[in-house]
Amino acid sequence: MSASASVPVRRRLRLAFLHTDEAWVWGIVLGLMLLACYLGPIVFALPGPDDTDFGNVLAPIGTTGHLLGTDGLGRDLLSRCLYGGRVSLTVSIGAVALGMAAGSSLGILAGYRGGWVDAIVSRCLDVVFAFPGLVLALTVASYLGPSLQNVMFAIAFYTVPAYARVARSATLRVREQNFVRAAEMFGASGTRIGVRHILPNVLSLVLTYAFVLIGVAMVIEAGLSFLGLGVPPPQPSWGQLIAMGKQDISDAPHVALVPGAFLFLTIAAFNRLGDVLQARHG
Amino acid sequence: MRAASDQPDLLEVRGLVQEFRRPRHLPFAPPRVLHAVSDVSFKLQAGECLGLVGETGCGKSTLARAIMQAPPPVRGQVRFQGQDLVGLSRTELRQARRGMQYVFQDPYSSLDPTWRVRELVAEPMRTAGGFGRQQVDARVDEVLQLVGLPADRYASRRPRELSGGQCQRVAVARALTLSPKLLICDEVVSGLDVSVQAQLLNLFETLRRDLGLAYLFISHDLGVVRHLCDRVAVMYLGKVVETGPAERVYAHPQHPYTAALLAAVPRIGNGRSGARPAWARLSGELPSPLAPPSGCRFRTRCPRATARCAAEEPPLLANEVDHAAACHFPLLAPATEAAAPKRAAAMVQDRA
Amino acid sequence: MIGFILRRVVQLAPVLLGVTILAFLLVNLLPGNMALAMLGPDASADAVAHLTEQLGLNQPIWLRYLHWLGSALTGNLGWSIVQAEPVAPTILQRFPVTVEIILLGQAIGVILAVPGAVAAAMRPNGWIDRALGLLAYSAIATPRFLLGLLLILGFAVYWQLFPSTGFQPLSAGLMGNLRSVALPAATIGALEFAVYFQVLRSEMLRNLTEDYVLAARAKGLSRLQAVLRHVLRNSIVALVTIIGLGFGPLVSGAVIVESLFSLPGIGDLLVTSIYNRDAVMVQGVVVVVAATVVLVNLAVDVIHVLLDPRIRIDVG
Repeated sequence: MSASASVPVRRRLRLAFLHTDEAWVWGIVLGLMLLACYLGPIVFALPGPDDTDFGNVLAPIGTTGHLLGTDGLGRDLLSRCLYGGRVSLTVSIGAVALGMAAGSSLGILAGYRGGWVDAIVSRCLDVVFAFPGLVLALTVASYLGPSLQNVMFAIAFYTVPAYARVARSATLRVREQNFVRAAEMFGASGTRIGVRHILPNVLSLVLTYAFVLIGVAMVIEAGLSFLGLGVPPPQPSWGQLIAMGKQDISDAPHVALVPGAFLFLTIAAFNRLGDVLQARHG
Repeated sequence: MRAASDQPDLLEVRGLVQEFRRPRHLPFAPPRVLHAVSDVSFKLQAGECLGLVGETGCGKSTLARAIMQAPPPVRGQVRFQGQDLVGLSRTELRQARRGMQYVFQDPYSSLDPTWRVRELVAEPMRTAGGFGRQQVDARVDEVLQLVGLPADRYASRRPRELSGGQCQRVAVARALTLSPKLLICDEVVSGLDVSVQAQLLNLFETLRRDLGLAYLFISHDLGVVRHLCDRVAVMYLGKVVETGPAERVYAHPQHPYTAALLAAVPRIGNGRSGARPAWARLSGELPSPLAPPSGCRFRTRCPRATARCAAEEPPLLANEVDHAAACHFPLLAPATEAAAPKRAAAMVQDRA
Repeated sequence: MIGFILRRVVQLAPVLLGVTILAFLLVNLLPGNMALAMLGPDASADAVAHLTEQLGLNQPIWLRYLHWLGSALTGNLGWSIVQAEPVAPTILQRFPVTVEIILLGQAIGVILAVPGAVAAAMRPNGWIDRALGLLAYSAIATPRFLLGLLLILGFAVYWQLFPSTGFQPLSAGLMGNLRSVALPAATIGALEFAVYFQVLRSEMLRNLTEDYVLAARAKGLSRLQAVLRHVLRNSIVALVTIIGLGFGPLVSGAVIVESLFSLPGIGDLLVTSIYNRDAVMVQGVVVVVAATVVLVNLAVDVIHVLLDPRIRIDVG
């Protein structure tokens, strides 16, 4: 037997599995989900999300022409899930982007300035945080009226303070570092220090937090949609699809569970990716 | 002919007081004030190295920062090259303070981890403004060479790629870019390996010789200070208790605290069993700077304290030329184990 | 200690005030004529004008706020025109249902999490740890309504063990009551279990590396005894804090769960009031919920200090 006996295939696979970076796995999952939802309906000629097919009502998974089955009106579930994904993802990512821009700036300002600026901002944050996320979003969304932008704005009521809090505590930590004191001793202005020293050092934390927060935003959006107070039809979102599937849960559970699976997978991917990245770079 | 004493002092500190407010226990209770530095005065000449020693918590770092006006002291004057820094606006201060630079203790935390060495060293010049790009680059190369980190190999590295000693050199290089006259070094070699410490101290010596730098060298390590400094000031609980030429203070300390500090330095192979003479034994714990003892602050731990020490605060008096101590009963003779108690008793009788 | 409590209360007053302001503004400042919304788009201009007058909607907003705050402090949260009931008593009447499912849910969470975390901490990265970790992770990624649906599918439709909707009050019998809240409480409990498990596990693993555990083992205690007697006690503090701080998210969960299972609690009241455009009721519910969260946080802070002597020294 030669010294370089071949390593058995199973063992090689196992080693490859163990060495794979978990972040990449979830990143790819998310990438595929995003591609599928935004480009899928264009690339694959699927039936439209509102195209009814009364001959094929409540078709199970695997029916020809309807890969994931149909709902009570014969509408293709795969198509509805992909379009629904567009809505859920757009709202959540948009709300978090708003939060990142507005919230981080507020948090960094409060953390660096300290004094009464910080005191006021912190009190305001305390007040907003006393309102549970869903309750806040519900109230705002209902009174603004149902539309995609309004739902995004309503969820931003939660993401902006959440980001402000995280950015503020990160800034407080950085602020104590001697290189900030040194810059102050060189006579640097607050703006200069904020942009050139504080921002680069909180950036990794701000970016990795986005993933976890998107997961949270998706849960809130789904809750809003489930209660019928989210993005209005005909634009379906995953939460709505699940709500609509509720009535057929006994006969055809897949109508609610297929969008549920999409939702679950996406949230899990965002959460896990966020956790892994935070552990590494937080 | 101009005598040395006609030269203006590089740095003169007069009556410096630094205090901090602490949150109150109850909403309407009287405010709690932490007396970090209480009425400190000293002078530093150009090219001179003054060591500032004392226990952790005695106020040395706070004093150094107050001199830099970061934050400015509550009371007192800080005259640098003749100009009082206290109360200046940010722009005025930036100009006036240019000749004075500060080097921190922790090498890593004083360098922004997201910046490269070149940017770090160039920061003071860029912040001050008024220098062209090529000027800045040339100066950065120059100072990096001075500290022994050639630019071609080190300029594009980040702090995490450097050792602790190298980071401190970068911090020193950064401090040298604006050609300062005074370098305030706050525990800059504590926490480094002894061999690295030696290298850094040699660097300081060289820089001092070649550039005529003055140092305010803060350390709790008496051995390091002795090696490097011309004069030394000893601090306790926010006050200077002794100043004088380093060699003299080490050989013949006047203040009981200084004597105790020196006696506490472990010595190898001296044959002593480790028992210290009575006059050099410290008892008790450091009192809180929130409520310093009345009169002489050292009296609660001083084996020679009397009622007078509690009633009257001893001023800093020169008992010999250029060698002062703040004590009612300073140790004025060479301290030997047998003689000291007798002489101390004699002095007590003299002054009673 | 008393000083700490006093200080916290003083810090809390502006927050509580801010909460009332935000609750009021959320409902009253957003666009749309409230009277019109309440009466519906077909209402006559006269009716709208009359209602506006009656509700005082044409007064400046800060005046309306002060009136409302004044009566709120005496316990009067207004009258809901839409549902023809006083706000405060309605809220009070619905409170117990919400409290019941929240407390049951937390109890389920704790009962499942504590042994689970102990088992996980005994053998970190063993199969129990990984399995429970995976379970916890999945529960967190599943929105509550989805989890509730799954439970309904399993336990109400497939195995017909529990009802899928409806609430039976305690007065109608304990068994009936418990059966009707079992699935809702389990939905809440699953997520609570996940969170408590994660927190407790990481806290216990952190404590396990401390020296006192080594000392306990050296004394002759078995791994399990050391964990139970020392590590668990020290980790409980973190758990209590999490339980208390989770109150806000729990209310969110209650809103969803009550809607899904048709339980007459606060969450359901909030949702139906929003559907009905019942501004006064929404205002009342929102402010009560937020104020409760603030008070619960205060209680958690105090308990935290009582339990953890280390903090007491700093606090003085």
